[in-house]
Amino acid sequence: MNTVVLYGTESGNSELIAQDLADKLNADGHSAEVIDLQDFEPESLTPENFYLVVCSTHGDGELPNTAIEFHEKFTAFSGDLTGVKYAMFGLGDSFYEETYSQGSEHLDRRFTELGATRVGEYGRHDASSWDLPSDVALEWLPTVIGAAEAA
Amino acid sequence: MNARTPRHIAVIGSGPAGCFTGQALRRHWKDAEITIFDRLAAPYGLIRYGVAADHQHTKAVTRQFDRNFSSGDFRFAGNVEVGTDIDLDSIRAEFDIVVLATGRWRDRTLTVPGAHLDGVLVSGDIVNALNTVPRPNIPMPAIGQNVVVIGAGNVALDMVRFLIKTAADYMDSDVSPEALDSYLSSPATHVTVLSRSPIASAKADVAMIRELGKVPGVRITVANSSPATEDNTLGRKREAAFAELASQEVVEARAHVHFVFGATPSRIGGTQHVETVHLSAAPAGEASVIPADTVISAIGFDVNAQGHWHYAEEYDFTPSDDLGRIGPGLYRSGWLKRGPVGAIPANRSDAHQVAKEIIADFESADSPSTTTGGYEALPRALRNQAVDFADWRRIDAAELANADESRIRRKFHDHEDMLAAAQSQNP
Repeated sequence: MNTVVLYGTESGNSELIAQDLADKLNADGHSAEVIDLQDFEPESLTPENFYLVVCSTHGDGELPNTAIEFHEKFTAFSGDLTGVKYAMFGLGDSFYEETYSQGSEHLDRRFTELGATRVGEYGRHDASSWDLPSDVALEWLPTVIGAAEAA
Repeated sequence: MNARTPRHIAVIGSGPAGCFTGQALRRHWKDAEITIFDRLAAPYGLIRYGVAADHQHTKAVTRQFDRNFSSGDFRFAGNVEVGTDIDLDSIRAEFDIVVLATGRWRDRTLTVPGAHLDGVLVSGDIVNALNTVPRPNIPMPAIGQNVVVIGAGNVALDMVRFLIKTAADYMDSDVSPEALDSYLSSPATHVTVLSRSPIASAKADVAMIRELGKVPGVRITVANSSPATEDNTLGRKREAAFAELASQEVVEARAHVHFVFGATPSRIGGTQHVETVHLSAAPAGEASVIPADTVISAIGFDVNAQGHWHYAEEYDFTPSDDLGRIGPGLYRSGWLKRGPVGAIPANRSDAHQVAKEIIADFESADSPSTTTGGYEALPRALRNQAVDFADWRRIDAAELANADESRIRRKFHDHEDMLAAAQSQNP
C-alpha cells in the first residue's frame, strides 16, 4: 500500500507533520511520499494509493491559502472516487471555538461527496494545547494505517 | 553532476522571516551550516515581542523553530548586534550567503496637527511594555480614562482588548505584571475607536472582533458610515460580528467602547496635553469633537523609519514584492523586503520565495567551491558574548519558573538579567 501524504498549510505546521508522517512510514518499511496540495490535481486520486490529508484552518474556519486552489479544482472535479481510501488530520485552534479545526473539513466533505471512504479517527491538533503537532499526529498514524489495511 | 552547495549561511534576525528562510534553505541544503543572529538574547523577534501577550496560541509556531535549533538545523547566535558588535562586511566575508531579516518595527505616527501633544501615544510603546521588550525596557506610558484609539486593524483591536481587560482576563499569558498593574491602577472608562474606512473595508479579522465580546463588563456600541455591498462576504461577516458585540446586554458596565467607522480625525486639540480629538468627517449623528486625555494610534508600521537597517545603510530597502537579492550573496526577506504587511504566514510564503531565488542564484554561479570560514571564523570575543540555543533554554526555564500564579511566564525586563540567566548552571 503506497501512502500519499497531502498537506495544506498556512504557517508550516501541516507541512512538518506531513513530512514526519511520511518519514515514519518509510522508516517502518511502508512507502510514502509527501505532496503539497498546491502541486496536486484531483485527477491523480486513485484507489491504488492511501491518502493522508493534513490541513490547517485559516481565518474564520476557512482553508489555508495553499489549499484554496486545490479545493476549487476539487469542487469542479466530477470523477468517481469509489474505492479511494483516505484519512484526515485537521489543525486548528480551540481559542476560536466557533470555527475550531474547520479548515480541513472542507476537503473531507468533498472526498465523501465523490464516494471516497474515510478510514479511522478524524485526527486533530489544537494549537492552544501546545502539544507538539507531530507528536499528536504520530500517535494517530498507526490507528489509521491499521484501519486502512483492514478496510 | 552535483550542484554547487554553500558551506555557511548567515541569517540576521530570528523572527518569523529569518526562521522560515532558514527552514527553506535547510530543506534544500542538508549540509550547509546555518547561523541565525539576533541582537537580543531571546529568539523569535515579533513572535515573542510583537504578538499580543494574551495570544499565546499564535506563538505556538515557535515549536517548529525550537525543533530546528535543537536538532542542529540552525545555530542561534543571540546577543550579537550587527552594526554594533560586528559589521555586515565582516559577516559577509565569512559566509557564502547572508540573509537580512531584521523587519520593520517602528510605528507610523499621526501627522494631524496636535500629534506632538503629551498623551498622544503609539501602540508600539504599549505593546513593547506589555511584552517586556528589553534593551531598552520602556515602562508602560501613562494612560488616562478617556482614550481615543485611531485605527481599526488587528493591532488597534489588540489595544482595545488591553484597555478593557482586567487582570483576571490574562490567564495563561506572559503579560508584564508591572506594565499591566500600572495601567489597571486607573483603567480607561471611555474608549472611542476611530476608523477612516467603513466596517466593510476595515482591516480587522472577524475572530479578533468576536474576541472582544468575551471580555465581561464592557458595553460596546458601533456607528458605521456605509454598509458593505451584497457581494462583500467578508465585509458582511465583519458587520455581523460588530452587530453581535453591540447587541450584548451589559449591566453596570465598567467601561464603554464606542467604534466609529468612517471617521476622519483632522486635529488633536489641547495646549500641553491632549484634550480633544476633532473629526472632519463622521457618520450622521456622531459628535465631531471627542473629549480625550489619551490618544493611541495604531495605524501600522513606518516603512522608512531610521534604525531598521542602520547596519546596511548603503542598500535600498524600499518595499518590494520582487526579488530579495540586494548584493552578491546578500538578500532580504520578510518585512524588511516586502514592507510591514502580512502576519506570520505571509512571511513564510515570502521566505520560501526568497529561498528559491537564493538556491537558483547559488547553483547557477560559476565559482566551483567556497572558502568561507563561517561562524567559527568570527572573532573569539564575539563568539564568547553570543548566546547559543542551550543558553536561551536556560533563560527560558528561568522565565517559566518565575511566572506568577495563573501566568505561564515572567519575561526578564533587563537584557543583562537575561545574559546572567544564560550563564547560570542550575536552570
